[in-house]
Amino acid sequence: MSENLFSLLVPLQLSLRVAFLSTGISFLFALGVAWLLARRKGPLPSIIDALCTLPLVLPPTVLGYYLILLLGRRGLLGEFLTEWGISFMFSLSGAVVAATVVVFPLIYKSARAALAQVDSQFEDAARTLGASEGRIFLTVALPLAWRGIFAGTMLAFARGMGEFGATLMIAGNIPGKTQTLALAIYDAFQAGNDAKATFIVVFTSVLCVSLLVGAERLVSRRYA
Amino acid sequence: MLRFRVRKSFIDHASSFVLDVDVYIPQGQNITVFFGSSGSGKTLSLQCLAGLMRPDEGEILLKGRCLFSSQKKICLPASTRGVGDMLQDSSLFPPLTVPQHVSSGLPVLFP
Repeated sequence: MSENLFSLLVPLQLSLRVAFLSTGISFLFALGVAWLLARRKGPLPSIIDALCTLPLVLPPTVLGYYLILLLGRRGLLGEFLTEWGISFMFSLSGAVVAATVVVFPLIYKSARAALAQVDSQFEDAARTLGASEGRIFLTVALPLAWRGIFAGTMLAFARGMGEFGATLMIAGNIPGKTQTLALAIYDAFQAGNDAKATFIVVFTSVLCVSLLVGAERLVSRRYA
Repeated sequence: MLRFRVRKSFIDHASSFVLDVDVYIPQGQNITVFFGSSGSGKTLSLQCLAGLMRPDEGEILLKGRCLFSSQKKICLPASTRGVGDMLQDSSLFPPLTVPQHVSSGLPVLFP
């Protein structure tokens, strides 16, 4: 038992790092895109919206494959990056990239819905009072929409903790380097170590459930 | 002085509406009342004046300053027009407290 717990620390730490970094990076991009698209209608915003939602519906292996095409050693960007000594393949940064893409639509979708629901009269009032678009975003739209954005971000974090498919394809399954909790479960199961697999499964489930419950309670709490 | 000549059409599959306003208010006129039946375009006109709505064509001059001109391709953003707008459902900002609302103008009065 204590041996199991100890062997869990490394994958747990890797999972947390991947989840934190990917959620953070996705948060910034998703919020920006959501704000740009929240009030726009037309063919181009619809296409961008569909593209941003794609990671949600595509199999993670497809995403992983696209990322390999893009970032692999002979990939579109990869070739260029390799010359600079940057490689995402089989490294933790690759796992972060994979999770960032997978997690993006969760934040983007909820942020866009939350921002679009803000009564545009408040934004117009701020506009005629001389506020810049950036200030309107920070002081009017964000405080009114934060609950929805926060809920999406929490969902993204939990999803990032459990990212498997795309991560496996781009970052591999290297114990101590890119083996996150989800990959460690697969590894233990494949090796016939059912006790270890069960232990990680229960641990991961409890962690994710408590995360979501905690987030839910934070969001549903009323204004003091 | 206000020179306000604006045209904007809204056409969709169900209905169409064309806002077509031409107003000149000379200097020295302090209060002007805009009235008309509902749906005649009063709010739209004011939104065009405040910069919350972009007209298709026309020209808006306020105190000699050009706020909008389709010919000269000028359309100042609402934040720089200096045109206030009291909204119909006069709105408070929900996340702000009463003291925050009351004191929100202080930095402008006492910079």
